[in-house]
Amino acid sequence: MRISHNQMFRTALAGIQQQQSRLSVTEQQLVYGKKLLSPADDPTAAARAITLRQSINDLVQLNRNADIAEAALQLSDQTLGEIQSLLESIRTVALDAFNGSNSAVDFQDFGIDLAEKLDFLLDLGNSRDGSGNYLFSGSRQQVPPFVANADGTYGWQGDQQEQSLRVGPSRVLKLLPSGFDLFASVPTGNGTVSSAHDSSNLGSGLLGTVTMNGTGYDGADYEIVFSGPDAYDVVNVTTGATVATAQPFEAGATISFAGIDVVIEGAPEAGDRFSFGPSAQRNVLETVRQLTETLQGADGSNETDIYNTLTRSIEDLDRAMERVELLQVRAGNRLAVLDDIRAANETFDLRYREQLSLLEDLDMVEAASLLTAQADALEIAQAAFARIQGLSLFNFI
Amino acid sequence: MANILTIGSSALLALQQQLATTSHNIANATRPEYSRQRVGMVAQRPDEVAGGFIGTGVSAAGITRSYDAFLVSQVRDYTTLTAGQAKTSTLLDQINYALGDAETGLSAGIDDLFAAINDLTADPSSNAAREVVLAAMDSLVGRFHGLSDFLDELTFAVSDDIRDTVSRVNTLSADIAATNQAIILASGASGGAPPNDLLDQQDALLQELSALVDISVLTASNGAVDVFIGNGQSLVLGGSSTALSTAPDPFNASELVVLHGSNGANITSQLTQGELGALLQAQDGVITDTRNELGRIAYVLADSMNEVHLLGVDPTGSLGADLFSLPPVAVGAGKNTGSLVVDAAVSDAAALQPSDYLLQQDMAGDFLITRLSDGTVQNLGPGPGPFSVDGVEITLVSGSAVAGDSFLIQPTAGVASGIERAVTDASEIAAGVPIITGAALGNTGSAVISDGRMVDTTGPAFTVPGALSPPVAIRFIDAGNYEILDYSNPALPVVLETAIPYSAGGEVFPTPGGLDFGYRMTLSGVAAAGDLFTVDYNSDGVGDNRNALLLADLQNIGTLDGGSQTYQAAYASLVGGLGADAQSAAVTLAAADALLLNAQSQRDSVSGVNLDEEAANLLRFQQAYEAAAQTLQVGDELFQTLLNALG
Repeated sequence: MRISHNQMFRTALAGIQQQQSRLSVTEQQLVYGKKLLSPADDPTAAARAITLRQSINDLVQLNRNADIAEAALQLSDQTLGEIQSLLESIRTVALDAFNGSNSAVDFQDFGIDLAEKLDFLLDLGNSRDGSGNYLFSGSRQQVPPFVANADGTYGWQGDQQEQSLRVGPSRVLKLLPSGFDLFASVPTGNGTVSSAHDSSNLGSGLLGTVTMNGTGYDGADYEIVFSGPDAYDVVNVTTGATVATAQPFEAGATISFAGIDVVIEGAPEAGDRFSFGPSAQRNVLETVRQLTETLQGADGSNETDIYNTLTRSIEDLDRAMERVELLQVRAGNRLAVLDDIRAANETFDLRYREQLSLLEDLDMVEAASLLTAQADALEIAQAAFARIQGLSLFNFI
Repeated sequence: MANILTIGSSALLALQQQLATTSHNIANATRPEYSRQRVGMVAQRPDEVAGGFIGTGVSAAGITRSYDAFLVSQVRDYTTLTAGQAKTSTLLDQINYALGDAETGLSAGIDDLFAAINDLTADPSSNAAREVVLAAMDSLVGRFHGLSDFLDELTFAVSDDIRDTVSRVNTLSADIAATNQAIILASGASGGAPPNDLLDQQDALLQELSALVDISVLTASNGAVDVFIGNGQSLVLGGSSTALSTAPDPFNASELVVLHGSNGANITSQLTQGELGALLQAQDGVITDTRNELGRIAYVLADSMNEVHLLGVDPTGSLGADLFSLPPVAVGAGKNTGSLVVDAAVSDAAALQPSDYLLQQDMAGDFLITRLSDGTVQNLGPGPGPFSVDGVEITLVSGSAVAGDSFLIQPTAGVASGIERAVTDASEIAAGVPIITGAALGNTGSAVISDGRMVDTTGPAFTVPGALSPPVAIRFIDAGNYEILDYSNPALPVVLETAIPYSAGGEVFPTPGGLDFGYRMTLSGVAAAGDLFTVDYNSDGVGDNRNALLLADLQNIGTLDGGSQTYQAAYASLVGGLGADAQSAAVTLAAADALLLNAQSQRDSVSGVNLDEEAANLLRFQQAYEAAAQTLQVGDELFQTLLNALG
């Protein structure tokens, strides 16, 4: 092929320019440490990088949420622990009161002790987090969940909303229990049946705790009514039917009816009544308050009422402690789940970062050696150009 | 004797021409459009002598260019291709850098907004967290505006470039026409000998023009050329040229159309190659497409977040309002003769396509709509509408159309620039859900009610601010049936519907009797007679983050293309698509460059000057000249010999 002067220059120049632009790309890659300088370099990788980066940012956010969730769960766990030990100590006071041979003054002292513990229990129920939000008022975070009403009773004014947080991709974890579950809706009695004595009973009949004998409880209200010190009737209050009439009474013997087993100690008198009905829900604060009032009202003549109340209250406190324990277990489970989710998040985070790095990050060694090779190629092209453009017949004329 | 002298002098004259032409070649060696010239040499008519013919010397028979018309036209073709691709490639690179950057692109802004919303879910009563959400919304809106501004600036730059290119086309056409005239004159004056350097100049002008537009060239016998563009519109005819002009697009004033000649025929769609073609195509192509896709993402993001936010309640107990405001769908009328007024609105954001639409009435009175991004035409019939196309509802408001009337409907074009934050105060962020469910104290069963969710807050149940009309309770008649109560007065509940069979885990609303208050919840577990569950207005649930959680979920939910793409997946495919376009433009450019280089080499191989060759020629002609001079010397000596012999 015939080569013209311009052609020689153009070809040489085109070669040099191509080498230079390659060199410049590698140089930029090295400067930024990135393989992809523009989406045009690898469109698929660029699109993938955007979604990967979003996933990574989301995981970073989820980990932040998980930190907050963990703090909240730990705070609730700790508070639940304190509540549990306080309930334990209240129960101990009640047991002490029940077991000792106590004078009216002793009962009043126990009552004073319990009144303080009751205040503390209210404080714990109204615990706040670091931002000043109430832990157990559901979504009404700025309203104390438990209040002392004007008449001295305790009310619940939170809602039943348990706050949740996103801690994993499509994983929402509930955090704090609602005060409704914690205090307000604790079942009474043994959870199925709750019993009561009539505070106007004249005898010294002490009602024991109710156990279920497995024959089935129909949910109706029943009463044991003493017709005399030695005999009682069992009445279905709901239907008005008398279930058993003139049963002989023996202190300490098990009385069975409608799936209920119960023991009455002491000496009831005619007209004394003990009632049984389906387990209701009562605020723990109310349980403790009523016990406290009963103890403080000891006047030496109402010991039977006090002992009966103590039995009921201890039973109710057991239910409250079971409830707190349930919530503690739940918080513990949530913490365990949180750990698992965190671990999964971290695995994904690592994997995504690896993928992103593979897509975007430059192999420095490879790029550096490429740069050397390209620089060499450019030098060779330049040298060739210089060498060729020096060749001219005119030099010899 | 005289013969020798005549032959010698004819050789000297001819060789002088060759030496001059060689010098001309050397002098013009570096001009790329120059075609090397050669002097054609012919022997002069010989004298007839006894026994044969005797030569009478040489004469120059004309100076010609080494020229291959095919190779030159190939250079022009590849120049058109290369220049167009280079322009496209540059434009795409600019868009790519603006959209593809991890820091400045849209994706980081979306991430920031959702990070702020996630933080709000962790502390919904915190005013600081709410302020951060507002700031992140502003920042995201700013990113949309920034990208839209960038596209606007790019449109302005492209418009300027189009005007500039058109004026260059006009200058070149005029120059070509002028050169044509000069060529006709020169070849006439020389009796048909080619005016080589003028012809080279003509080639140079044609090649320059071919970088701007795709031209076809017809060469006349007198050397003049006619130049045509598009579908055969003439730019140059002999000594006269036709000017192109630009005008704003009648539908969209920010874009330009190219008009031909004094009658102003719109030839925009026919110009697809060269720099001008690349610019015109970018206007309607990549820039419009990118703006529409950004607008679509902005629309769907705002719309889907609004939709969730409207179902929420803020800490003051007010129902959520729109988070973002969106501009109305732009409808532009063409040069219509009818009186029809058309309105359009988005009815289904998930179905939106990133395109403009052209609505036209045909001769039969049917309305045809063309999706401009891919040219799909749909016949909507004669009306009266409203018509629904790709999630856009088109209403014929008033008047009537005349066949040929047209309207440009742009559902998404103005969204990226028109999206704004609508909530003004941090306390207006509706992080909660306006209903709160609960079990009544004293329930004996183990049934629980779910938190509940909202589907509609516009119904009659929400007409009184801060309260449900009415508050509702669900009461179990027995373990298998419940009733719905109006619980406005808990002491005196009113039964709204009774004996609804209970299935654990089932939705309570809408009830078999059709009660529906706009919220949904489920009951599960074992219920007992008398168990009561309440649904109240959430007037002070400052710690309620349920709606914020729903907002946070939107980032990972498919909301575009009928629910198949997340915001960022759509953005990623936009960036990926632009990247692929830029990549293929770069590849095509490289290929076109190689083709152009090759075509130029082939042309240069024929027409270019080789200095070594000219050096050799110089020596050859110099030697021949010396030899011819020597023949004169010999002739002179022969003459002297004769004179001496006679003398």
